[in-house]
Amino acid sequence: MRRRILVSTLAVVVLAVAMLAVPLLVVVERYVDPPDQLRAGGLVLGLAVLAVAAAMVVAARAARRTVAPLSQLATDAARLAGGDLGPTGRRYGAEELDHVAEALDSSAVRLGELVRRERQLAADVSHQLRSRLTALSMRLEEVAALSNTAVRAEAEAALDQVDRMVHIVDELLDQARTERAHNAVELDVAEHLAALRADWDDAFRVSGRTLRIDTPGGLDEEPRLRARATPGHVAQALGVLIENALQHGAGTVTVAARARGEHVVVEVRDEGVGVPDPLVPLVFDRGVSGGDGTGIGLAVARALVEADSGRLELRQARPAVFAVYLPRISNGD
Amino acid sequence: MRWRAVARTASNGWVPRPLGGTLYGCGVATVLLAEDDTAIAQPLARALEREGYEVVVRADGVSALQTALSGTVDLLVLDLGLPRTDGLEVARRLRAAGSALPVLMLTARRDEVDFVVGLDAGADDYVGKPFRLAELLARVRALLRRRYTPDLAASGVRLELASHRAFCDGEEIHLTNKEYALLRLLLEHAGDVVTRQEAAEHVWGDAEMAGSKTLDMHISWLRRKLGDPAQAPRRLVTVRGVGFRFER
Repeated sequence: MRRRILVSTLAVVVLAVAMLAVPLLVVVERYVDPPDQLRAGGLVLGLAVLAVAAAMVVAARAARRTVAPLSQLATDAARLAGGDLGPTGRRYGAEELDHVAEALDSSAVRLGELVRRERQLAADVSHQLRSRLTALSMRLEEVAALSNTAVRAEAEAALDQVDRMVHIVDELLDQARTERAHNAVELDVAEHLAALRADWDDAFRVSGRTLRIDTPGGLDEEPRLRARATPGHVAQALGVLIENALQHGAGTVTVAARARGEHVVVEVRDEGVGVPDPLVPLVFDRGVSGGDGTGIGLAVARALVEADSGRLELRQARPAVFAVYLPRISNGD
Repeated sequence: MRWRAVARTASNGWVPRPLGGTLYGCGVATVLLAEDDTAIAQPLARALEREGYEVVVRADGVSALQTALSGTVDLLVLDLGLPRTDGLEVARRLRAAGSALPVLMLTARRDEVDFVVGLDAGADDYVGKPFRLAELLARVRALLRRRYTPDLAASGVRLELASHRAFCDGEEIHLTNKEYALLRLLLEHAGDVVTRQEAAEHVWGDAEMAGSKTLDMHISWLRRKLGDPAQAPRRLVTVRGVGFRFER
């Protein structure tokens, strides 16, 4: 894109210069005395080269200015495709570009909402099926326990059917989960958090607060702490938690990662008054907190983490400690 | 058959108790069942009663927490999908209030990560829904038994005496018999100095070992397994010329 603008601008300028310079050179050749011909011709050629050089500088700048928002848009679109569902809120002051940016932002919001609803549905289906199956198997066990041999055998056979049904439900949910997490990659936790810090440095400097990143042994730790997750999902979820801590919390915000068996736990805590009791059961409900126009809310953040087979929990209300659980890649696989 | 008599008499208050519900002769164990789904709560309560437990049923998180904190129950069977305050939050508040009541969580979310989340919230064990009754009852028995052999814990290190297992920051660590004995002695006196003589006599049954390198080697192995840096240990501290101290 940038090269094309550069080349076409240059072509126009070279053409224009040539159209002026060639007749001038002809005039010089015809009407100027031979001793001065060389000087005059050189002057014309020099001016032509200067004009082309100046055009090149101007064209390069114009190209850069036209292309910068476009490549920013491309980056944003690629991030969206990679599962990073946070609206950027970026606008460029150029109508056409702003239309594209708005479309990207609203797609991000819609996709986030879609993921949330899909997760909610899967969770509800799973919960309802399992609860009903539990109730059914409890009754059957009661029948088996309180009956004579023949009825007991029937009840046991029915219980086997329940077990098979449970197995089917598990397999279906497993399948759905694998499809959902198709963007998940191997994620170096310490590296990811270091990049996150860079994103948030300015916001913390402006508010005079401190962001502490606490990874076991820092970047030099061997073996590395690795998770399987979609980088965009993790960045978004942690972004919401950090933003919350910055807006509603106080004091130092600490993001600490550690291994916990087959999982990686990343905790985000601050030193504020925390989440008031009545809000505790509601913090992950839609439209309760987080997402103030830009960014996503806690409900979507939780859905994004769950889409990677992780969990997002409020581990402690006062002061607030949120925990993101992610599948861990242990050293061996 | 006794269970038939139990089932019939459960409603009028008198229930013959089979052995399962008694606690080493200390009376009958009371199980608090926190489950809002009556289609599950009713048969489950009856099953627990058949085993000889007293059963108290609560159908929401707030009242479950109140009853759990009242000190009248021996075990909490906690469904995670409770209304008002969900099960995880009940477990968290219970632990925040300093209660050591054994908690067996029931959850329809049975991915491994859900169990980890539950254990982090303060549950002691979990059963995924749907479950077989025998499995649930076995967990209930194990938890009640464990209650009477309390764990030893300090500085994020925990010994489960009943099962002879050791945990460091929630992760199980594997210890040799001597290491386990040494760690147990140190944890029993967490915050106080254990002299080299005491350690030698207690772990090796031989006071002569107090001056040997063996004791120091075991200490350094323990530190390594507990992730304690030898130069600046945070948990297992050397008290120069006296012995060792496990920090609280």
